[in-house]
Amino acid sequence: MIAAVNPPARSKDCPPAFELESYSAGGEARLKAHVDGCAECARYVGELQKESADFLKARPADLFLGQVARRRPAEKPSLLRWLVPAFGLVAAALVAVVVFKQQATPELTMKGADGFRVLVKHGESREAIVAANDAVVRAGDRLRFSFTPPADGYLAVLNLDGSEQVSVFFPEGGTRSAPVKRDGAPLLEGTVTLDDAPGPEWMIAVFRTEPFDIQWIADQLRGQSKRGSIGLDCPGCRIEMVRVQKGSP
Amino acid sequence: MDNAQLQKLYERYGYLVHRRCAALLKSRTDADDALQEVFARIQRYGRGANETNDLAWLYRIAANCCFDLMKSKGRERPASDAKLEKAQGSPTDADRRAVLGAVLAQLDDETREIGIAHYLGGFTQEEVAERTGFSRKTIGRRLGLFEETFTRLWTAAQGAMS
Repeated sequence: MIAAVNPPARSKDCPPAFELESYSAGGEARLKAHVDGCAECARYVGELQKESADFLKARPADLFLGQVARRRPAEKPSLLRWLVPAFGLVAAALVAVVVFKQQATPELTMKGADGFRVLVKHGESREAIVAANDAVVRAGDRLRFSFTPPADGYLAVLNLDGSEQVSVFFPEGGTRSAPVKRDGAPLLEGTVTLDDAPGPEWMIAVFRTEPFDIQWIADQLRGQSKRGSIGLDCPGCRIEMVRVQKGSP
Repeated sequence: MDNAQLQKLYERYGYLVHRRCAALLKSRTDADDALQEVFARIQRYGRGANETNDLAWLYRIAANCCFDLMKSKGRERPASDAKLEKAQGSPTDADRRAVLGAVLAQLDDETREIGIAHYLGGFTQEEVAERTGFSRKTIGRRLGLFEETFTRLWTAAQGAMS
């Protein structure tokens, strides 16, 4: 149920819902006398405070801020973002005919069998192990990734968690794929600490010889976490993925 | 904005902002996404010099994030459209609140601000006029526009059901 706490029907002397919400979070001290004497307003404020406490218990600040840190704010849609694709549409259509003929579907593998590896350090352990598909991980475990590209190209590593939240692990919080060299070091920059989001966690490596927009991939991923396999429409891409399962702490 | 300030804001207002996002988006998952986006924007841009009320400021950013999210989802229908599909009989204020996001997504920024203050903030039209600086006449006209859009969607949904 969403937004289950409903504001009281506002009688003549009652403050608006916004002010009661502010009061519930420690503001609008002038409302104290009214709330203390009004059963309906007191009920609303009490429910908000209880819900807030439960919310923070389920989503502690340190975990939430970790999620925010892994994220880059989405840019507001601008006219330019619509115009550029529009002008490029004809050229893209022509190119697409050629590309689709060459490689109509992405190359897709599971378990990191080829170039993609997920390395896990459990708890305080200093030893990293390669995660097999459906390996059990826990909140607090640290992950790193390695990828051996088949050629010079561009890479993105995304995470889809059980609540359909998509995070970009490489390049961290990025919106465009990052260049990788065939003869470069396979271990990717950045360490990820798992949060307590329930359900499966998909780690998806997307490689292409041309740069690509990560948001387009992320939009396709949402809603697929509970499926047995992930489907992505990404012509010319090599896609490898590892699924791990979140265990109890 | 540093992490300590961000944490303080989250612990104090995180639930309320999430609740506001859920009221607009009608999806807990999307509300999670929007809440993160709100705090990512705060971290990036900080607080404006003229912001005097933290909750009003956060609610405004939240509304922007929610409408951006609806827009970025593009071809996906807002979750609140589902309510319209069950539209029957005369709509109530609860119905209006239930499809608020879907209706406001089709309106301009000023009408959104007024609609949110009135239907979610619980302010009367006079109070909305006082808070926003718009004339009482403008408030009435904008809420009329909201009502027209709502009625159009509601009627279309009823027609589709019959």
